[in-house]
Amino acid sequence: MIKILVVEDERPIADLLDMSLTAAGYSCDCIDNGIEAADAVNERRYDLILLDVMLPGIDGFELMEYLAPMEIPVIFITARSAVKDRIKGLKLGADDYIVKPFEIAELLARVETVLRRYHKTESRIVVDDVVVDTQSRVVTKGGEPVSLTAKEYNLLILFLQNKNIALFRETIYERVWENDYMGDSRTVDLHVQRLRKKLGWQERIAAVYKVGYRLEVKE
Amino acid sequence: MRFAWKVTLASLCILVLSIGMGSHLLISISFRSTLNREIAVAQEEMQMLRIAYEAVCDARGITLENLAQQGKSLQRTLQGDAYFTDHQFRVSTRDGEQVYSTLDAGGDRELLEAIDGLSSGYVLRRADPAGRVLIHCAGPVSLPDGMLYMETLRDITSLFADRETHYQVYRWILLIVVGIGAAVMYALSFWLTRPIRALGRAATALAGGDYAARAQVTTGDEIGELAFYFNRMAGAIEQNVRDLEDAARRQEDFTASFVHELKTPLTSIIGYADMLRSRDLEEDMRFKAASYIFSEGKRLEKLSLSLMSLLVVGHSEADVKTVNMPRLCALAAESALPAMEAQGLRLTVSTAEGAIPGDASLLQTLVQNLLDNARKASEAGKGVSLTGEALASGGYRLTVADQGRGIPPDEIGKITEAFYMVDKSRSRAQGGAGLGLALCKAIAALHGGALRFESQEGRGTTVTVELTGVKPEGREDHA
Repeated sequence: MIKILVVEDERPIADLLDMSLTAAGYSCDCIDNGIEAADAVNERRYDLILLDVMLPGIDGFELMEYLAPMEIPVIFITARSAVKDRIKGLKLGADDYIVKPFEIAELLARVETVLRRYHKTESRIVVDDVVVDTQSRVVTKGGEPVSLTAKEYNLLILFLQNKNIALFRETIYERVWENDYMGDSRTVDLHVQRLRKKLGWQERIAAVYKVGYRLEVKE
Repeated sequence: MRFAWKVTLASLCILVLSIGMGSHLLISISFRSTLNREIAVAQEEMQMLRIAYEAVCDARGITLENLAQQGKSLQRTLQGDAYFTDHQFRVSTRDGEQVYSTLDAGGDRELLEAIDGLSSGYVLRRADPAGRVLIHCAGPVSLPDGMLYMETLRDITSLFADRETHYQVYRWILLIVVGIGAAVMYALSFWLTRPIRALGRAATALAGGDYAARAQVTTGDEIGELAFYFNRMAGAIEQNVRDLEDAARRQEDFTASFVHELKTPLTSIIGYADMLRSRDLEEDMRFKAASYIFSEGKRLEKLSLSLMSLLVVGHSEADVKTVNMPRLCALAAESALPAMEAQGLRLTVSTAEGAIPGDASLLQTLVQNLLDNARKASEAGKGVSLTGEALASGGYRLTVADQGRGIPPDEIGKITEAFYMVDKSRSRAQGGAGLGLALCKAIAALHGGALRFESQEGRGTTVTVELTGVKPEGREDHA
């Protein structure tokens, strides 16, 4: 199981991250200051660290300098959105930078991306007879390759990252099309229809009334 | 052109002019006096010859009549006399007929025509092809029955040659003096302008953004003075720039902290709301999410209220009245008491009579905030005291002392900055946004005072503020 360390001094946000990551199938530890975080990293092995910048004791940037030689992927989570802060974070060796406030779907997607970059995730995702190889981006159903467009593939990955979570149409649009949602839901609906048809997932991708869609997978 | 070059050139011009004109004048004057002397000598000579000639003629009884017959013997006599052979002269009649001549150069007739009758005269000649300069003198020789004319020539070529030589020598002297002068003047002016260049370098560095640059000039003259004023100006600029940078940094810090304070609760609210709407949660999880949304929402509300009061103190007109301080302290203590008692704290209030001009509601906020801070720092069973004393100067001193946990020494300077919290997690738990003391500081400043903290970790904190009251604009201070 993938272990993630959350370093965040705001209790509500730490809980939020914990609940979301646990629900997405990760194991999660929360620590509220930089010094204890440095100790924890020495004691246990983590696959990813989510690091707040404004921390009591030593701040996130200082902690990052300590963490950099350990080659653990780090994602900064911070309210500081100034470009120079982002550059500073990335220059110190962070893998990504999430600005508060963020949406859960975005957080999960970034976590997944960083983990995949470090080959920490399974490159094969299997749901029933559908197999997704995230490295070669090949999708097969019952051994037969399924031809998906780039948008359909991204849509599928989004569903797989958010199993059993209702995805709002606007969230889907913003994640897959990487554009602000302008209220036109037909694009999303159309792509979901095509994906259902190609994978035979009419039942699995359930429509949620007035919201959007949810991929239902029994654990 | 460099200033040193200008000084050098200007002084060289003066040098050349004065030496040139001076030496020219000197040479001319000395030449003229020598020439005059030579002329006098030449005329003297001519007179002597004339008299000698007259004497010879007189002794021989020569007249114009018998001159033709006596001419030959006279000539012999003259040729036999060493005195006459030593001198060059010519004797001729009024018409220009030559009677006797030992001249080796021909003279013209003009001089003879110019002198009339009995006078004598002279003229300078350069007619000679050899370039000689001669003084040509003429004078009458009296014979019993008429006049003959005597002419002499005196060679003064050497005089002119000397003058040329003098000019030549002076030209060389001038050249040497100018050469040495130029070198000395340039070195001197280069040395003199050194502080100006130092000043220039300092100014350039300053303009380039090096505000610590100073002119290293220690001369006691005007340039030194200028450098002193320049350095003073540079100091003022450096101070201003530092103040501006400080202000900008504080502004930036404030904005960054504000954004942080705003975004942190927003992150929770958005995150939990998103969770509630998109997932089927267990009952206890849903309760937790909803509680967080509620408490973080409350936190935002509190933040906005604190910010509002901070802005109001900074920018709106205070409602200035004479405030009775003991009554105000009693009111503040009364509203702080329930929370204190709930926490098991003892509150002692002792106030002296006194009044200052001020805004009663703001002053009450100040006292209440200080009491609130004392309460938050203290544990059950400890005491908090509020003391008020009237000052001889007309102000009023408030002191709030607690026996709480105290403030670490290196944090004291920062605690009145907006959003600063010594212990963030505890402040949060007690509902603080880090704006209380910033507000107190602003209120105290409005009433002409500043907060002073004395603290020992684990022993307690004493906050003192001396208020003189709001300065009424355009009116006498009636404190």
